[in-house]
Amino acid sequence: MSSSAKLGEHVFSQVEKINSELFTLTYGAIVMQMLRDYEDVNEVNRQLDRMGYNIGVRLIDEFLARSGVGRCHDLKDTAELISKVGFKLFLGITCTVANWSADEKNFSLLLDENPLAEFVELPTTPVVSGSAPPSKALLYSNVLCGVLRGALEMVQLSVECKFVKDVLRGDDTTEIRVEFKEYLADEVPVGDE
Amino acid sequence: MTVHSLYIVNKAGGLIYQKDFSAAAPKLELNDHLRLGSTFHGLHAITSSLSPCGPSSGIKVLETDTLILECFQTPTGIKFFATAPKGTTNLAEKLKGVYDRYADFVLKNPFYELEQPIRCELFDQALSAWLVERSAPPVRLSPMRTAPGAVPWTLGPQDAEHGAMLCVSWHGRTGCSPTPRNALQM
Repeated sequence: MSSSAKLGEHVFSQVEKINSELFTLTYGAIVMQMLRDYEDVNEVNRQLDRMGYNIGVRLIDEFLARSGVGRCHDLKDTAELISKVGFKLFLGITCTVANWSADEKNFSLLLDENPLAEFVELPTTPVVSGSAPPSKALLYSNVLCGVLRGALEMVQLSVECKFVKDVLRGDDTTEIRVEFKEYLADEVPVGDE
Repeated sequence: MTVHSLYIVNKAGGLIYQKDFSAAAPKLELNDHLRLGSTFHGLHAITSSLSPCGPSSGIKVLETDTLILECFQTPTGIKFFATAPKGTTNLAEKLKGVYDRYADFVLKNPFYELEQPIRCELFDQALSAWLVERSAPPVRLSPMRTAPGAVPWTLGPQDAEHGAMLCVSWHGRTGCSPTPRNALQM
């Protein structure tokens, strides 16, 4: 087991846990209500990302406090920590990092299991007639993309995250593509190398 | 040893939290605390450039004759720094604990806005529990050989001084209840 995987197991064992079904069903209820309120699937996707962003900007401090990690040297370290420690700490799962781009600025996170999407089936009928049905257009777990974006922004990494594959929409795996945009150098706390 | 005071400074250098935990902490006005917070933020930034040997972080520990100040900066830019009496060894660990409690009680409070002054009751309570040393629990002592009519007594923190004097007199006499007048001075 790599050192980050060991760290992930260790912090996971220290942290208080709740019933995962409660979590899954609560999230499902939120998404369902949002679909009813906004009616437009694309708007729901945007709102989930925004919610995730607001969670992410606060989550990062808890992650840093519990794991005790310092700055990452490069994006590979960041990806490793997210997949083995971050996901483990908050969702109890680990994911795999894959599909690095040639310039090593983009990577994918492959999720074998997604606690948010247990027991979920997306409706095939459109919410508003004429628009795409949720089973094709809804990014159910889009909150995760927002969380990654928010959390990384607080440590001066500007990234874009999106779901490229989702088992809920019929693909064989769930894949989040993370693209590094820029390093926010003017916001680095003074004294940090 | 109890921490004297804790300061939390946000990314921009503004003070977002200040609390005194011991009677020895100087009584300052809020404006003075704000000034201290911003001054420390500035000094912390300057010292990282002043370092003679390569890239360096800002102030981690500052020691004077009477106190030590330790600072912990998170990768997100927040600084937690605290003053404590000289000789305190676990200050860094205490600051890490403050960061944990910040993540638990401040960030999870939906009414708290990031970078703003912290007004969270649960955070205050958690910090008091973490940073204030509790006085030692009462020590139960009874004489080894109990003389007739003797009464076992307990030593509490409030009468520790008294109790110490009583202790000496008890061993010196049997069958009599100890009185402060007869007590031998330790």
